[in-house]
Amino acid sequence: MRTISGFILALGCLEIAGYSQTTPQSVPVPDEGLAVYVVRVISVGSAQRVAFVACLAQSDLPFWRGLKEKGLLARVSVFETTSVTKSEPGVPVWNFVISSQLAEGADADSFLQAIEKRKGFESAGGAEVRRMETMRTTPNSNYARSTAADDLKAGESKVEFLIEYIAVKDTPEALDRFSEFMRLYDGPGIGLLV
Amino acid sequence: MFSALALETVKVNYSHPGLPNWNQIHIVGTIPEKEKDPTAANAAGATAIRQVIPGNVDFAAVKAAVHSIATHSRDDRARELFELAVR
Repeated sequence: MRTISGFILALGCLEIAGYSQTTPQSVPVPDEGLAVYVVRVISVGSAQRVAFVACLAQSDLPFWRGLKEKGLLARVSVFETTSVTKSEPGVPVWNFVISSQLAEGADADSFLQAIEKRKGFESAGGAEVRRMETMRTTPNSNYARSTAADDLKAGESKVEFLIEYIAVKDTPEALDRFSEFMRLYDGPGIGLLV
Repeated sequence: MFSALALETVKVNYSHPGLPNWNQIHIVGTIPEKEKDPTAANAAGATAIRQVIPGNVDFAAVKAAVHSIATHSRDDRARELFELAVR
């Protein structure tokens, strides 16, 4: 296990000399309220990668669009790992992440039942879901840019994503402290950099 | 920096045996061209810190406290497959 370093980030790793002599200024507020996501972490063998992506495009993508039309889904993003920079030794591997942001007011269990019932890429060989979880955005820490125009800009700018999987001590006190750190310092700080 | 999204686990619906037990996922979009210069990136980060940390807060202590309760199970670099995105 390693100590925290990334999203805590950009800020936590930087020089902080002189910060205490300045007056706090107004910081940006995320433009979206709290949102619910279902995140699936998936392992795909290298020999099956092309077939997996093709299956997502031909089968899952139309299904997701249908769920959006029904008011269940807001957005879907698919990430593919290009390198692992830190990892615990000997743990199962994964190389794809599908994040599905639910529509406002939509029920996560309804979405989970829909994807469970249908089986898209899961029914094709070579892909294995390693973890599936329901998540919510951390307050004051959501600066996602996921419109079609943002995608164009991201492509032009060759945006690279850092994905950090962080284990906070599983006690109410520790989780509250971490959440407070994100809400008060890390999230607003990142907002100034986005 | 292009984007940032911090998520916290509400419920684990399935986890493969042996998988690390994280409860936060952070997804940060970076623009490599703009972040090639670490000095400039650090300066931007330091400026951001000065703007968000109240003067009476010992940020080093706060950071140390967070370090004591959080570990990175895994860090990845990734690309987004925009052709598969739903917007």
